[in-house]
Amino acid sequence: MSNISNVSLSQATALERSLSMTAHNIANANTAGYKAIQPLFESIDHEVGAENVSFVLDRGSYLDLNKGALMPTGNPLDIALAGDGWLSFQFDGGEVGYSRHGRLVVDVDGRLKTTGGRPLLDAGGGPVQLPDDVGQDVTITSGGTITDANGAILGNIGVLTIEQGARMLPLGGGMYQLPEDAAAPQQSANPQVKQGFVESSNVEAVLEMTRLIDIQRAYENSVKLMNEDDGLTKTAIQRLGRTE
Amino acid sequence: MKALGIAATGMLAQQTNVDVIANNIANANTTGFKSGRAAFQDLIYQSMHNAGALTSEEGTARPVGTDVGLGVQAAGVIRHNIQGGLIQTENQLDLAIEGRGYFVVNRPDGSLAYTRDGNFQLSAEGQLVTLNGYEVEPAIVVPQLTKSIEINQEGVVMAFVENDPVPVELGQMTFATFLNDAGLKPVGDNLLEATTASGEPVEATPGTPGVGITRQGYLENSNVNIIQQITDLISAQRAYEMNSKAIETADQIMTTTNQIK
Repeated sequence: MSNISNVSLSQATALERSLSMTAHNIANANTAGYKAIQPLFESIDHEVGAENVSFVLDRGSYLDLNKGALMPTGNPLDIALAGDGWLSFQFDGGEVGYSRHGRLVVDVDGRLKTTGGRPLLDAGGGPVQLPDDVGQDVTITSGGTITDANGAILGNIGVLTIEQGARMLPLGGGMYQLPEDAAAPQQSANPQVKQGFVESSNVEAVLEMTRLIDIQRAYENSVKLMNEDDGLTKTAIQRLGRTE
Repeated sequence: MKALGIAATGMLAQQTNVDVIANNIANANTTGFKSGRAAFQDLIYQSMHNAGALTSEEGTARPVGTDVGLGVQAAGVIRHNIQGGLIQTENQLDLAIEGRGYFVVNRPDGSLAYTRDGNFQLSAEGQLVTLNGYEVEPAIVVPQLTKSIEINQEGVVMAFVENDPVPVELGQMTFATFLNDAGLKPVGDNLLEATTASGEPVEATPGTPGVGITRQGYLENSNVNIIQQITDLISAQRAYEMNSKAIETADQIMTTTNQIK
């Protein structure tokens, strides 16, 4: 294969991966707390004789950390963060996952959990434990303090700031993990917890739809290039092969 | 081509969403009904390149990985246990709960169920029953020749029999509360069942703090916010369409691929 075909092939492969990510974003356009994922492309320069050839490489992916719109639900156990920051949740084996998705339920032991059953952690890093009898009758202040109907403090919600959040590893289920080399998360100075709200997905529907069109056309271009290259080779063989 | 499968999960999730919304709208006038909302979660991610992988002998590492997500799933339907509006009916056997509790109902198979629907009637034996004829627990039997029934906020049922100006006390209602109301399982007929997720019912008389009070002559309307449902329906439909566009694009890309000579 000539360089033209190889360059086109690298483009087509990158585009296919990009399409998977766009489809994943669109599939999660209504998933509360979801952060869109975007591909990172890079060119790999390669000198072949006198010419300089650039291949495309999909170097990685990153999280789009723009905030989703806050959607009122009226449910007292739905919490959203109006500012920066992350909620933290306990995973099996003591690991901690981070999320912006605060649709919570209270379990039979009085612990606040995600619908997937992961306990919410407080500012001290322990699970948020409520007394048995309060159920959903709690008020959560913007600072993250949980109080009952009479104003007695029952606990608090930990809100953490994470540097380089765009590099967090998605685990599915709205949860993210810190990259290994990241600095330890710090308590947020300004948590801005909103009770009765859920952060909607930050997927920009219009952008993703235009991206679909872009990907399709670019893919057609790259296939066209491959076919042109094929045609060129064919013509060359025919012309040079004439023996008269 | 992963995009096809990914977009299909999106369409399935939106279908669930529409099912839940349709059920909410259908029950907009059902006594004691609590609206539900489908909750979605992104599926797991497949790492094409791992972050932190070494890119040179000098120890430089990849700062980001390539994580391709595999779509979305419906994680569950969350019931919104917020108080519905009370409607005055002036029917002396209609009861509404203002607060967290549930009426306890004895089903024919002997098991207990819980309901917010206080649309009660009397059986042939004079016992307080639901519209399905299931007995309310504890049993309250109204004597014959009762002229009127008074039920106070603490759920004490009193009957005025014949011309006696002194009422007869027939018993007191019991409310059940649950630690995790959202964990109750709806079984139809406005009834809910206790599950391990909801926890065991805690029974208390109405008027106990945190349990709620009884309102005679009122029914609790459903808490479905119809405008919210319609706007949710619109966004579900658009999301469905967007996913079908992603399928279309994947399809056209595959057609293009087939044109490579």
